[in-house]
Amino acid sequence: MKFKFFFAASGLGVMLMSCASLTKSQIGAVNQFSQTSSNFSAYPGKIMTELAEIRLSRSVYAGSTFSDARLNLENLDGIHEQYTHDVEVSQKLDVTFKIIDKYAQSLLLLSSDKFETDIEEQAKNFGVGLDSLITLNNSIQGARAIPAGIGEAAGKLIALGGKQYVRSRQSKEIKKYVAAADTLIAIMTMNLLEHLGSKHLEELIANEEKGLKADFKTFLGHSKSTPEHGLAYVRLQLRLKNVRALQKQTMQATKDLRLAHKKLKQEIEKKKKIKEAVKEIQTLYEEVKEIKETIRSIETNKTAGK
Amino acid sequence: MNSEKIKTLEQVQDALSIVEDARAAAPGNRQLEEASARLRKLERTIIRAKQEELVAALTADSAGLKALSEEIKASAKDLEAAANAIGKATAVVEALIKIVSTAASAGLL
Repeated sequence: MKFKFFFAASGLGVMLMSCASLTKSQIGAVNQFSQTSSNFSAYPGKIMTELAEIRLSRSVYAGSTFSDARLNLENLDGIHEQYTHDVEVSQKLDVTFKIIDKYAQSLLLLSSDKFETDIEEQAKNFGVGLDSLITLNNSIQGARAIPAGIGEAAGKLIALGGKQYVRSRQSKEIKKYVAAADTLIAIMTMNLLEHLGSKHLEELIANEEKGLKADFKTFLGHSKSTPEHGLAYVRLQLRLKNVRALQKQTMQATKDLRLAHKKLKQEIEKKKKIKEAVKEIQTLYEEVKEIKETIRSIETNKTAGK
Repeated sequence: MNSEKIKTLEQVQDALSIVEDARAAAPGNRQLEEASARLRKLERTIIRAKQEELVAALTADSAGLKALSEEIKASAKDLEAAANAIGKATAVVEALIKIVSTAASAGLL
């Protein structure tokens, strides 16, 4: 009986091992890429929201110098209307950026090792359950003894077969989608690069650089300056400097994202292990880390300025 | 000042600089305040136009990747279902072994 069982279980395992699977390191590379890119939308969107908030602050400072109440209120209404529009624009842009996130997040789900771990866990329980039954059986007086330890072996076989089957399906889907997405990623990153390096965005940033200085000059020319005003100005300047850094870093990260996806596609098309971490994904990861640092710096100045 | 001639943000900033310098020299001057407010309104109008162009340029070509992401999510769900099915099959085999084991202990095999 022991041999019959092993024979059947081995047969099941062989049957389940069908088409060429990706290696664990290949799936790992897909997962790493997805993790690094899954919140990409936060970076370009942050440039627009920062510009909007800096504009709001400096405009209120300058507008407060009007002695005519009607004019002052009209100006404040205009600032409010503009800020509402800024938020709407940011949301519209975010939707586009979030598509890259969505792709990365769905790829993250597809490349998860959860499917294999689940099977392993189930098979382990199965083995333990089977061994307990055998122990119980063997403890019954007069019962024919069944060799102990068979449960663990059977569990391992089932896990192997199940894992092979799931990995084979997972590999097929990953290969299909990464290949299909590559052209779309190329187009989207190209659009994003055009956006980040566009004349319009450049003008908007340059306008804030000039406007912030000019509006504070206006404010200081009409009002008594306090250290709080000075600090507010310095903090806004720091945030603006970070917007510039963010623009540069996001452009680099967008280029890296494109390269990493292209390399990923090439790597999973090969039928071999990825011996070293994919360099392009590592570069993307480093760039994203720097961006996160810049955003953290923006947030610090924002919180401290409140 | 003819604000119709002002087309770019740079021109707005240059004009504002002149007006604000004049305002600093003549605080409370109504005409200068009006000019400053008008220029600030013009600045917002130009900013909006630039933002609209930025949005229009980006929103194209994004539908393809969006649709693909939905497909990938569905595939991940299918894969989860397959892993669960394997778990269920394991449970069936487990039940079968229990029957065989009980039968063996009862001396039926």
